[in-house]
Amino acid sequence: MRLILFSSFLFFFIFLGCDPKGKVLEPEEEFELTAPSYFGSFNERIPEDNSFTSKGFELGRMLFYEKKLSGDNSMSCSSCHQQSKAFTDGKAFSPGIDGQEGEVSSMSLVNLLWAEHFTWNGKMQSVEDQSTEPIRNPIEMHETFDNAIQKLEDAGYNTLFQEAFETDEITEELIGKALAQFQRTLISSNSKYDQYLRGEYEPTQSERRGEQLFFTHPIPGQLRGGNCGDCHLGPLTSGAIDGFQGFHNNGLDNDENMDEGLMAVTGDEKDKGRFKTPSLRNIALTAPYMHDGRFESLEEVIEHYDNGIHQSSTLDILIIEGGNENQAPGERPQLFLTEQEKEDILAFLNMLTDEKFINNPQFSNPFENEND
Amino acid sequence: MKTIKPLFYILPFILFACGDDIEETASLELEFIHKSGNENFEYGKTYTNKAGNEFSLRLWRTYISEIRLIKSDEEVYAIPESYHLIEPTNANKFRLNLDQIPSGNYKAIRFYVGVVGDENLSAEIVGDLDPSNNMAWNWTTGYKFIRMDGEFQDKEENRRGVVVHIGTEVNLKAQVFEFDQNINFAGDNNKLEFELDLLEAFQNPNTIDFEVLSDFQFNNEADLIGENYEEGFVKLIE
Repeated sequence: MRLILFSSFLFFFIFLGCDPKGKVLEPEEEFELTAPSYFGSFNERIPEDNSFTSKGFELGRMLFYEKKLSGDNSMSCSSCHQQSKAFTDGKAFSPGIDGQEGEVSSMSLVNLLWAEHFTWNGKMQSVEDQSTEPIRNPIEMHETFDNAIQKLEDAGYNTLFQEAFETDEITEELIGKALAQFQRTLISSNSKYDQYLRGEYEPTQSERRGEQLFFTHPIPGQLRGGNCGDCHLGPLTSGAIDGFQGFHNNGLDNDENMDEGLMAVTGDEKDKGRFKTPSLRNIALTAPYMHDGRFESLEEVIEHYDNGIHQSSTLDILIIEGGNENQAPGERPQLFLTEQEKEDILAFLNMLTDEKFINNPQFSNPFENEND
Repeated sequence: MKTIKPLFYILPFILFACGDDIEETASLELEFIHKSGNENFEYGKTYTNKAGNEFSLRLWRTYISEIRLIKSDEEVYAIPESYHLIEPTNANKFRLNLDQIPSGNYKAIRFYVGVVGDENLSAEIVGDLDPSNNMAWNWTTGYKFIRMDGEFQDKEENRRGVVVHIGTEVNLKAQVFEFDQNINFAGDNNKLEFELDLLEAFQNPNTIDFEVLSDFQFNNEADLIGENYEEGFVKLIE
C-alpha cells in the first residue's frame, strides 16, 4: 500500500506541477485480497506472471471443482480438498480414481501466500506446479492434459480462459495459473484466535494459557512451554517460509523406520525424515494428523510431542532442546507437560477454527445443484 | 511489483521536468560479511569456539535497526523505517542498499543490534519487521534480535542443540563506528563493509562452553550472549 500511496502522490505532483505528456495507465482489474498485517506482507509473494484478476479467480474456482479434469470424470481437486474440512478429506491416504491410495495425507489448503515448497516433502516450487500435478498423477486424478483440455473445450471453457488470460487457447500452464489464483485466495483469518488478536474476543483462561504454552520454548526451572511455536510460527502457525527452514523431523520414527521426507528432494541424508511444517489453522477439522495420518486426534498429537518422540540422527534440534524438566544429554526428549497444560494447548488449537472460512460461499462449489 | 513500475516512468519525468530544488543524494551499500573468526561462514560447516566446542549452524539471522549517518558537521541523517534483517543470503554476504542519502562528508555510522522502539512490540510491518519471518516471539515480547540455530556433539558424542534466540531491551546494543577519516558520499559507488564474527557471540567477556550451557532463549543466560555481541561482534572494515 505504501508504494501505491506514494505513486498517487507522484501523480498528483505531475498533474499539478507539470504538464503531463505521458499516458495515464489504467489499473488492471484485480481481485481484492486482504489479510491481517500480522500475517506479514504478501504482495511481493504473488508471482509477477500470475497476478490476481476476478476472472482468473472465478475460472480457478470452477476448475478446482471440475470433475472433467479427472480420467473418469469422477474426481476434482475438491474431492481431496473439501471446504467443510478446511480443504482436507478426513483420510490418512486418499484413493484416486482407480482406487489406489497415495502415500501421504492430503494437505489443508490455507494461507498459501505465506508458503513456498509445497507438499509434505517440498518437491513442488509453486502453487501453480502443485496444482497440475494431481491431475496427471496416475494414482490421483489420472488424466492426460490433452484429454482434459479437450473436455474443457467441449464444455465451452475457452471464453472463460479468454476473459481470464486474454487467450482462448487452454493450456496446462493456464489451468495451473487459474487454480493457483483461486487457492491463493483461501485466506483464513477469522478464527477466535484472530478475533482475540484484533481485540474482538476475550479468551477463556485455558485458551490464554494455551496460547502462552504454544508459543513458549520451555526452559527447565524458568519457563514452562509446549514448544509448538518454534516450528509453527506466529499467527500463521505455519513453518518458516524461506528455503527449507520450515521442514522439520518431529520425531515420528527412528532412523531405521523413517520416511525419506525432504531427502527425496535434496538427496541430503541430513534431510531424512524432515517434512513440511503445516499451518495449524483449522487443525481441529483436518484429522487425521501427520504426513501419513497416523494420529486420529489432537490429543494423540499432543501425547506424541509430550512423550512419544523417537530419537534419530535428524531429529530437530529445537525438539531435542525443549523440555520442561532437565534431562541427561542423549536421553529421549520429553516435554513433561501436565494434564492441565495439555488441555490448555488443545483449547488454543481449537481457537484456530475459522467457521467463516469453511462456509465462505466464494470458496464453495460453483456447480452445486448442477452435477452433484 | 506491478506498483513499482509506474514510479520508474514517472521519476525521471519529475526529476527533469520539475526538479529544481531537489537535494543532491547519494546511495550507500552496506555489506555485511559473515565470518567465524578468520574463516568465511557457511551453514553446516563445523567451527570451534573458544571453549573448544565443535559446532555448526543451520540458521543465523541478525536484526539491526535505526541506522544513522553522522556528517562531519555533526548533522545526523536517519535512515527511514530502518529495521534490517541481516543474514548470509549471498554466500556469506548480505548487501543492504541505502538510497536517498544526502551527499556530503560523513564521519561516522551508528545503529543498534536489535530492534529499537515500540515497533518491537507491534505487528505492523515496518522495514524488515514482519511477524511471519521466523524472528518474532509475539508482540508482548517482541522480536528475536539474534537468532542462531545449530548443534554440537558433546563429549559423550550426543547430538545437542545450540539455540541462540536473543531479544528483550537489555540486549539492544548500540554500535558506533567512527571512520578513520571523513568519507564523502556522492553518487552511486559508496560502500561500507562490516564483518559479523560468529565466534564473538560466545566469547569476550563471557566464554561460553556448550557442554555447560547451549540454550539461550529469553533467559538470564541469553544476556551473557548480549554482553558478548555488544563489542567486537560487528566490525567496520576500512
